[in-house]
Amino acid sequence: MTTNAFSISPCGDDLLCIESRDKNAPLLQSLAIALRETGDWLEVVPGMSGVVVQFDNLRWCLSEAQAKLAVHLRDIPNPTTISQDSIEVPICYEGAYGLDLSMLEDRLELSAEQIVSRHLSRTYRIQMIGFLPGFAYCGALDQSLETARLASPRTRVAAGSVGITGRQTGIYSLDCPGGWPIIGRTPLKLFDAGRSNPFLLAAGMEVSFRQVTSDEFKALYRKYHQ
Amino acid sequence: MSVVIDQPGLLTTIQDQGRSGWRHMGVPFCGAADPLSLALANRLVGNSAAAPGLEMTLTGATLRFNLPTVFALAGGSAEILLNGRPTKSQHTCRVQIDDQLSVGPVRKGARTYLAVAGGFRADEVFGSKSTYLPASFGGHHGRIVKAGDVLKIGNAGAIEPSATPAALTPFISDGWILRVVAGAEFEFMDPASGAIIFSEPFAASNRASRMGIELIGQHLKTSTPDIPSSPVFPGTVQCPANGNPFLLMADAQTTGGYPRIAQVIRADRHLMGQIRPGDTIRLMRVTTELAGQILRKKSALYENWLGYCPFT
Repeated sequence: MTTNAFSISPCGDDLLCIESRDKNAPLLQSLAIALRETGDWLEVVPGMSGVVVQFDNLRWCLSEAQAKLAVHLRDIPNPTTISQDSIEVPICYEGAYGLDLSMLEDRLELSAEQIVSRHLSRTYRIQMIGFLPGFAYCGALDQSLETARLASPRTRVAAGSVGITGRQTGIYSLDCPGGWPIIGRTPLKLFDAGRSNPFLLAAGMEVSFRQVTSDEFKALYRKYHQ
Repeated sequence: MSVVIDQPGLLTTIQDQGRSGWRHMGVPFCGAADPLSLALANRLVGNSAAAPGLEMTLTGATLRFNLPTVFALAGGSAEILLNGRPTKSQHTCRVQIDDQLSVGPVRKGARTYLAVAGGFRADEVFGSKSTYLPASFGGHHGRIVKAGDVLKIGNAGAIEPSATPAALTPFISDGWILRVVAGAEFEFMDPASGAIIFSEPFAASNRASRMGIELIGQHLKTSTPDIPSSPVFPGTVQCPANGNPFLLMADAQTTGGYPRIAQVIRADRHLMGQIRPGDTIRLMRVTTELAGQILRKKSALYENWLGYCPFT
């Protein structure tokens, strides 16, 4: 089924996948917001190349849901605006915070200083939140820093760790397993279920990293994690 | 109005029917890995669909009641002792103050559920009282239950003792057939893998948690090892580069970068919570139309007894 720039296909008995031809992350995010506002879908989850909606397949059979979704896609007004806020993210690249910098020096044939300065050289847009609560996928990374995931993922990456892979830089919101090479860490508390807004970051936000020393990191960490 | 934990078992958490509507912020579904068994236990003590119960993994807990009440157990089979005397799952049990319940190792299946009339009181986060361990929220202070914990119980009305009808009691085995439909990247599998995925059995490996289970025994090949990060759900079967399919469960992450080759149908997802390492798994492909019919039939059967659809 094809509606304008989108195609709809089932990817489960209660899941429909919307693929967009131009794979434009902000467009997918605003499409997801509009679909969520209809209240018809259990989940509306944007990814990097499409959006998946989950529906109650006791309420609608798959073809009814497909027809409903096609109507929604046709009737969606101008793309909803997603967050345009900007946030400064302090980051320390030193020592154990920049865990994989020395490995990346060999892999990328760049010095740690070059990697850091190229990572700092631009602002990023949060393309999506996903994986775990509050994990932020940001783009686009400098082409010279493009790198593969670790061959064997770590069983534990510390919350606040900043990794790179492909043309993305990602911010780990929790202590969790992870496969992205780690280049630094932020002292910000990115996710806190007890906070009125548990998520510090949202899709669409502009992220600029600001380099801090390990002493500054420790002081900021105490401030944000008391 | 509470129960006191004497021995917590291997991994015991408070779970309910899960949270939805937050996957776009990375918040997983959570909830009982086997929501049908939790629902059956809740039914026997007069609890509503939303009542939180205790999910015990591979080893049961020992606990004491600080109130006269009723409880019920359902799910994986284990030796159950009430004040040292054997009792059964799938029926309402009456207890007095200081009675001790001891649930032994789970012999078949992976998880046993305890419901107490009134339900366990727990932290509600993102619309659910389920414990989510990776982010330490929900349930009992966001963590596993420990020895000495005092778990508070909600208020309950009068309860008529009952037992789960035999026809509705799930059969817990060490071999499982999970019905699936094609996933978003089903076509990425090479022809040989496309043939063996539905004809040959897999085994559940030791890499098993509430997030998912690795299936071993058959290597599957896909044309592309990575995809752009894309939404995944409980029941999604991913195929990482090592060729061992990974079956995602209740605590599944919300997006993933491996091809999504299949999706377990809604009516069968509760079975995943009872798979233990070493069990045999067969994937059986059905059409989306048949999946819908299976769900309606299975749901009607259970709605009659429970008053709601337990399949999430």
